[in-house]
Amino acid sequence: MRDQIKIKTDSKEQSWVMTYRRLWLVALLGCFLININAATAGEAFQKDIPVIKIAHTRVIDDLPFFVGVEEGFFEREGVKVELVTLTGTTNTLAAVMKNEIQGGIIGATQVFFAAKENIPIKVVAWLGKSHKGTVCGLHVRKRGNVRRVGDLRGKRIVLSSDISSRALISEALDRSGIKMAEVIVDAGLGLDNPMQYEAVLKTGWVDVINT
Amino acid sequence: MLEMHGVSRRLMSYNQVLEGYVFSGVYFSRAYLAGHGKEVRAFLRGLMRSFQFITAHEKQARRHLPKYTSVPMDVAMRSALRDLTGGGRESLEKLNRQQDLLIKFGYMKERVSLEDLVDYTLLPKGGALQ
Repeated sequence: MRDQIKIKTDSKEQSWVMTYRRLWLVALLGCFLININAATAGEAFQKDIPVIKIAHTRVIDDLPFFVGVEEGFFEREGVKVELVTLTGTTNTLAAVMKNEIQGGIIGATQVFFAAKENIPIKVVAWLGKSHKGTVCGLHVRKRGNVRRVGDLRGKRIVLSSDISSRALISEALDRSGIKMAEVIVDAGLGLDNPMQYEAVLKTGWVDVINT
Repeated sequence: MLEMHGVSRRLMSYNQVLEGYVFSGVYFSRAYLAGHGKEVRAFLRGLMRSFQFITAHEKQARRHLPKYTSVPMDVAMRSALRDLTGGGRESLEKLNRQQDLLIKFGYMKERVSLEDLVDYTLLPKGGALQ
């Protein structure tokens, strides 16, 4: 009798275990299907989101693009931004015109020339401006004898070929009563990074670096 | 950035010559803009979020620099960033001052009108985001 009761109890327990297992299987299957649907929806979202390719030049000033991509700001607004490394205004313009990339970064001075030449582009935003903490400008040897812009007459300056920085330096010299013709300009050094600037300053061969 | 290496010292910054100097902007072709206003608007909203993030969380923003540039982290954390408070807009008057400087030193003959080339209509209003 006791055995019969035990058997009955066991059978009841087995039934509960089976029901429990079935419920688990149904729940797991449900989760699996939900995941599949979510993944498919995610892929569809990724596929549907428009892509904009923007050229950049790997410089600090392009930080807003890096932040936008890394922090997901562009995608959150409904567009995927791909950053393409491309140097030279002409190269970038050509790629934009052919729609190989959709946008680029252009110097303010190049904008003036683009306006003059009626190049079919539009600047839709500026990427900030200089301020009191801006370091771009003229740099001299730390322990050299150039203390102010007025000391630059007859000194050797390394200048980039960029006309906007040349105009700014011409203005700085002009305010101190010095003409560009009164300094020795080296334009062909083609310095690319701070280490090269540093090395050239260390040699004493040049007095001022424009960067 | 150069003076961080200990060899040089800044004699004069561009900002001392022309305060609020505008260096560069982002552009699209007119053909692309004509057919993709919605996408460019979304792009600009994302860009303005970046501006706000850089202004509010500068240190966190700077951490992204080494991945995309050749600067090491220590320089990335100290180099000067631009003033982004204009929300992508700069006055034509300010840009015309820059033209005048180029004209003064013979790099340009005369001012050109920027009204047709600079277009803020796709930017979020006032640089603000909803």
